[in-house]
Amino acid sequence: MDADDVRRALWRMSHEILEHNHGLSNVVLIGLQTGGVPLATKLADNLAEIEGSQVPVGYLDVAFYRDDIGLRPVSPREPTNITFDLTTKTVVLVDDVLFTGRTIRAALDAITDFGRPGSVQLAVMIDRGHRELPIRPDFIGKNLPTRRDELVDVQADGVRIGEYEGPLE
Amino acid sequence: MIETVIKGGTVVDQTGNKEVDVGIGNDGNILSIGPDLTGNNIIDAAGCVVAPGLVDLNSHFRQPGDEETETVESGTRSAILGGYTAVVAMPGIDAAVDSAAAVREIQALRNEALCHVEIAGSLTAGCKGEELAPIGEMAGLGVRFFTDPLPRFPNDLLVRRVMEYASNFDVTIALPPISALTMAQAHMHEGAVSSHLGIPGVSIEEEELMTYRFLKMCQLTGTRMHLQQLSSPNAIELVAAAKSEGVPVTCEVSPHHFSLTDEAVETFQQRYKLLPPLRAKSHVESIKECIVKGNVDAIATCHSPNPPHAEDLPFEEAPFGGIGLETALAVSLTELDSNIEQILSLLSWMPADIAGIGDSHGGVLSIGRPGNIVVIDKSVIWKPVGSEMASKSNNTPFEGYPLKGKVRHTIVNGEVVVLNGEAQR
Amino acid sequence: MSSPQHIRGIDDLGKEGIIEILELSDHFLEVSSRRIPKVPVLRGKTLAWLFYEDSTRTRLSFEKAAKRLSADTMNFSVSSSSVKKGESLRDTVETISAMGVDAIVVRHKSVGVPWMLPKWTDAAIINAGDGAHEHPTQSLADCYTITQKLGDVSGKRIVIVGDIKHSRVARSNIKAFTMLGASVALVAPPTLLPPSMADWPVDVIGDFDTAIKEADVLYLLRMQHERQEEALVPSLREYTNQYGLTIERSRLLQKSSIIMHPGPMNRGVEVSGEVPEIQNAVITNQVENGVIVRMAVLYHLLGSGVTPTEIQNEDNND
Repeated sequence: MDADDVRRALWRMSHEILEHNHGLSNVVLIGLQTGGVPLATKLADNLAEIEGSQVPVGYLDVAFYRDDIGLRPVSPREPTNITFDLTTKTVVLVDDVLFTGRTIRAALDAITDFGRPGSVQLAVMIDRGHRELPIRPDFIGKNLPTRRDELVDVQADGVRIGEYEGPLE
Repeated sequence: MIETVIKGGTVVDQTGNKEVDVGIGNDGNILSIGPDLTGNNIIDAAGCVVAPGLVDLNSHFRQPGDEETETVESGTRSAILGGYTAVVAMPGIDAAVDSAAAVREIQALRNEALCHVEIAGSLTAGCKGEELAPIGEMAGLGVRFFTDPLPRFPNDLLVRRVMEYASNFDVTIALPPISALTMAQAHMHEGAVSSHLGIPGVSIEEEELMTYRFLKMCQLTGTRMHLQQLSSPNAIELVAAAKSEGVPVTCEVSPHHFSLTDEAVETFQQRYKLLPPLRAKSHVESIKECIVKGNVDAIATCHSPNPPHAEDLPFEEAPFGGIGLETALAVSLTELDSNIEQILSLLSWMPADIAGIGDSHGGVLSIGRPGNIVVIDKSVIWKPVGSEMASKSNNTPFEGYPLKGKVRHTIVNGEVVVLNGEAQR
Repeated sequence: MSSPQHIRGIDDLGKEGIIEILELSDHFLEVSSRRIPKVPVLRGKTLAWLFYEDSTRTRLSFEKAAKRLSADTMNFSVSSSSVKKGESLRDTVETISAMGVDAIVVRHKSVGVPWMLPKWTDAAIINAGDGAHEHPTQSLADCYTITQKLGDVSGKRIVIVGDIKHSRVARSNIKAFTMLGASVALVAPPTLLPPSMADWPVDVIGDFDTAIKEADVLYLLRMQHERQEEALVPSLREYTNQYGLTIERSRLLQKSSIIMHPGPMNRGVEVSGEVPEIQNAVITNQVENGVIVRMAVLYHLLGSGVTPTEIQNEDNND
C-alpha cells in the first residue's frame, strides 16, 4: 500500500464506522499505543469532516495487561490517556496491525477499568492473519497475507513488509 | 648426634646472613651450624630463608571462655603455620586474666599448645578500668606483659596509678591507644568513606591524642610501655620522638594497617571491621614509610577470631577483629619495601625482646640456643582462604589477597611442627 | 539498559536507570488516576516487607504500590516475631526466601544490610532505608516531584537544610540530584555535616539566608530531638532560629521555588511554629509520588526489564 492507498482505506473505514453505528452519537475511538494512535486521530478527523462533530479519542497502552508480562520484557511506551468514562459507549479500538490477537485481548481487559462499554468494535489497517485467539476485526484497511516471521510496518506514507530480525516468541 | 638438619638455606638472624646448614640435637637445641651437615632427618630449605622463629605480641585465643571460636590448640596451630614459635596470648575483653588462678588456668592450657605461649595479664580487674588487677601476684607466676585490650580508663589518673604500681615489678605495660568509650559509637575510620556510607567513625586524631597521653604517663612513671596497634603515622612519629628522649617505650603495627584501606568497608563485611579501624590510603602509605625508616619496633597480628555467625551480622552490629597469624609474614614480605633482615627483626627478634623471651626466641641462630626456627620460601605466590586456615575462625581480612612468600617449615624446640606447609600435629 | 537486579542504592540505577524509572512513573501516575487504579502486572508475584525499624509511612507506601500492581504481599513483623527471640538476620531472610518471594523490601538501622541479603536469597532486594546510608525510593519520589513541579531536575539549585550527617535521604538525594544535573547546596550546623566532604559534589553554605535566595528547591530534613541530647545542637529553639524556616526567611524565597520535606515533619523545629501555612510546599505530592515511583520500581524489577531493541522486536509481533 502506498500513501494514497492508506488515505483511501481510512476514508472507507470512516464511512463504515458511521454506517455500522448509524451515526456518531455514542461512538468513542481508542487508539492503541503506539501504532493505533495516529490512525485513531486520522479517523476522528475524517469523521468530524463527514458528520461535523468531534468524537472523543483516547489512547491506550496495553503493556500492563499483556498475557506475557513477566515472561519476557514488556515495556510500556506512551502513557494511557483516556479522560472520559466508557460506560455504555460504543468503543472502537483502533490499531495498525492485527496479528495474533493478544494485544486486542489485553486492550479488552484494560478498557473495563475505564467503565463498562455498551459494545466494543475493532478497526485495523492491516489484518495479517495468524490469529491465536477468537478475535475478528469489524473494520479492515486491507487483508495482507504474511509469513509469521515477517514484520509489517504501517506509516502514513504506506505499508511495508520486512524481515523480522529478532528472536521469535 | 644431629637429629635434624635444615639444609641448603640462607640463615638470616640478628647478626646478618650466611649460607649454612643448621643442625639440631636430640635435646631440641641447636647443635651445629656450618656447611654440609648430615643427620637423621634432613629438612630441605634450598632457596629458602632460615631464621629465628617469629614472635607475635598480640594474639587472642578465646580460651578459656569461647572455645568454639578459638582454642590455644587451634590458635597455636595457626601460629606455627604462620612461622611463629612464640605468641603472647592477650586477655580477653570478656575473659580477663586478673588473678593468679586465671594465670594458672592458662598455664595449664599450654600443654595443648603447638608453640610457646607467653601469657599477658590484665591491668585492671575484669578489664573494666576501675580497680587494679593483682599485677604483683601475676608477675610472681612469670607474667611479664600486662594489658587491657580495649582500655576503658575513665581518666588519666587511673593510667598513672597502673603504671606507678607496675614500676615495682619488671613488667611491660602494653596498651593500644584506643578508648572503649569512643569506640562504643564508632565502627570504622572517620573520613571520606565513612562520610559516604553514613557509618559513624573514629578519627585518627583520637589515636594520636591517646598516644600522646600514654607517652606522657610513661615518661612520668618510667614504667616500660609497649604501644599496641598503632594505625596513625603521626602516633608512630610521637613514639619515635619520645624514644629519642629516652622514654622507655616501644610500638607495634599490624599487617592490615600497612596494606588495607577503609575502602574495604564498602563491602560491609565483618572481616574488615578492625580495631583500630582500617585507615585511609594516605595513612597506609605513610605507615609503610615509618616502618622502613625504622620507627616501628614490631609487627603484631592482633589475631582476633570471631565466631562463624559474626560474618552474617550487619556491619554496625558485628564485633571487631580478624585473624592474622597465618598471613602476617606474607603480607609484610608483599607490602613492605624492606629487606628480609628488617622484616624479620620486626617479626622475630625485636618482639622477642619486647616480650622478654629473647633468651629462647628471636635473636640469633647459634649453638646451644633452642631450636625455634622458621624456614621461609620468599617466592611462593598464594591467596589466603579463611575457611582453609587452621584457626577455627574464617575472618581473615586478606581473603583472596594475592601474597608473596610463605612458610615452608617451622621448628619449635627442635621439633618440626610444620613441614612443607603442613602442620605435623 | 538492562534492568538492575536490586535497588539498594542510587548507584544500582545510575543516571539512565533513574530516568527510566521517572519515565515509567508517568504510566503509573496515569494508572493511579483511574477509577480502578489497579493493573494486573505483578499477579502471582510475592513481595515481603522486612522492616527492622518502625516505618509506617514507607511501608504503607510500598504496600499501596504493590496492591495497585496486583502483587501479593507479606509483612514480616520484626517486633512481634522470632527476631525478638534472637533469630539472626540470615535465618530470617532464608526463612522468608524459602516461602517463595520475588522481592524483599528491607529497612534496617545498620548500614549495608541490603547489600548482605543477596548472599542468602535470590529475591530482588529493595532498600527502604539502611542506617544513615541510602533511601533510594524516597529519592526517586523527590526527583519525580521536582520534575513534575519544575519541569526538570537538571539545572536546578537544590538547597538541602538540616541534619545531613545522619540522613539517608540526604545521601541518596545528593547522589540522584547531582546525577540528574542539579547543583546542590547544603546548609547545616557543622556538627550535623559528615566529617569529610572534600569529594562531595556540593557547596556547603554557612548562612541559610544567603542560600535560600538561590533555591529553586528548598529541601528541609527532619531534625531529631535526640541531637540536642547528643550535644550536636544547643537547643531546638536555636536550631529553628538558625536553620529553620521562619517567617522572615520564607520571604527570601523566590516565588517559583518549592519546599520539600521527607516527613514526618517536626512542626516548630524545621519550620517555625509562627509560619501558619507553608507556601509552595509540595510535601503531599512527595507522598503521592512515593506510591507512584514505588510502583515503577516494583515493575522495573519484577514486571519487565527491557532493552530498546527488544521493544522494537516486540513492536510488530502483535
